[in-house]
Amino acid sequence: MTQGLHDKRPLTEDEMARRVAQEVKEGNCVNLGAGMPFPVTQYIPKDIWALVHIEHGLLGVGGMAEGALKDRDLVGLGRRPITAVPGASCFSSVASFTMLRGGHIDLGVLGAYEVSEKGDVANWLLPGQCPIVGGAMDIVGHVKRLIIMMTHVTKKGEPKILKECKLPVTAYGVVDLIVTDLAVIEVTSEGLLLREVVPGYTAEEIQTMTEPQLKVSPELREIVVA
Amino acid sequence: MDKVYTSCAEAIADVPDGATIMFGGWGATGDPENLIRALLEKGTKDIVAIANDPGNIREGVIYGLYPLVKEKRIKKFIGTYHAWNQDFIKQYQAGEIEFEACPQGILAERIHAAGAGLFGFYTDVGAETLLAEGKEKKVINGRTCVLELPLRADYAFVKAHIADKWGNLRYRFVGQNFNPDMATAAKIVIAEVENIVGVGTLDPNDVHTPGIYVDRIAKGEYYDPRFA
Repeated sequence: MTQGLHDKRPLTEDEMARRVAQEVKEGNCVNLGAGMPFPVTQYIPKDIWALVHIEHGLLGVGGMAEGALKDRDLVGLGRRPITAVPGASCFSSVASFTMLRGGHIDLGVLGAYEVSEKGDVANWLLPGQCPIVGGAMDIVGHVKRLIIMMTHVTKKGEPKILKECKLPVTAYGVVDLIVTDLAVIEVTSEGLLLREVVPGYTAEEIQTMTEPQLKVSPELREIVVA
Repeated sequence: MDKVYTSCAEAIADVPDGATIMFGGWGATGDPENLIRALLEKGTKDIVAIANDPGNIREGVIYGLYPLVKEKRIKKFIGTYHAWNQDFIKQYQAGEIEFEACPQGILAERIHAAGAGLFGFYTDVGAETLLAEGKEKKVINGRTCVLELPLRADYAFVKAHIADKWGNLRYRFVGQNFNPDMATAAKIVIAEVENIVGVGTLDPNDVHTPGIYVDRIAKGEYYDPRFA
């Protein structure tokens, strides 16, 4: 655990990435979205075989490229130079989205503005702003499992996990798991199941920052960040 | 047959104002930056641009469509997002640039459909969003789908690593992205490449875009050694 016993605070983005990385299983091919999700790459356990997919055409993202390894034809999300792992493959945008839309990718991790208790997600349009469509609409609903990674509340402290999304929706009923800086919540057919909380927080405290009613897992535990 | 032009400027010399142009590239990779620079210098305006994003400038390094956006040469942009290009965002907010937002995979597939002689396809991607307004809908296997139409252009500007003189193209790593499909979907396809070799030099197994699709080839004159 990276936190002290009396250090009650939300997880940092880096700690969230470490927690999400624990969801990557042996043999998975994983798409990681821009922003918070992409750094998950570096925390995927080294002892499992898993490949990271980026939508502009690489299955098998390695780490950040330094020095002589920097190559202008090999960049990741955020346009930063990356490396490719042994076993990687390169392909066109059409082929890349064939993997995504065709249901060949095991796990997708995206950021979001809002998630509803039914697993609806809103992550492309804020009122009055220029839309950010990107590849998210192709990804949600087509990867085998979708994790949303976001802060639990807005900067103003308002819940982002809602009964119904207030912002324009990207897709309905597509989210499987929500990992926030305070909790890990599973979307089930019976509603939201609180599975993990950040050390120092109670289920009741998480509920006050979450609009829909949470069911508390009988196995509720503290988030462990390796 | 030799499709090689002496410069990027010569290769784009006939592009008129108001042309619909596809630009390959995803961020700073696979973008035909020398053809874009030549178009900027020629003064072409009122461009309808089809590309993943409108480019940007970061730490002094320019990529993609950024110079054309900055000089307000683009009247309509069909793409996926703004790439945090502040000039693009300001022009969009001011109503100076029209933006047709399209999911990334659907953008690629619409271009592919045009090149493959298809008249459209149904997809559930974005079908229940604001982007589907005004589009024909159909329920297929219980899922609401929208009809997406093919996307073609007057010109496609693509970027490859190597061309032979007939226009067989080979890309590197993620430099491929939209390029191979854009090369099938425009009336005139202009390839900017880093290296030009004789016919027969490329192993047929290494050709990503067969030369049948390519009309003109020009060697890129300058690549910023920095990239960010």
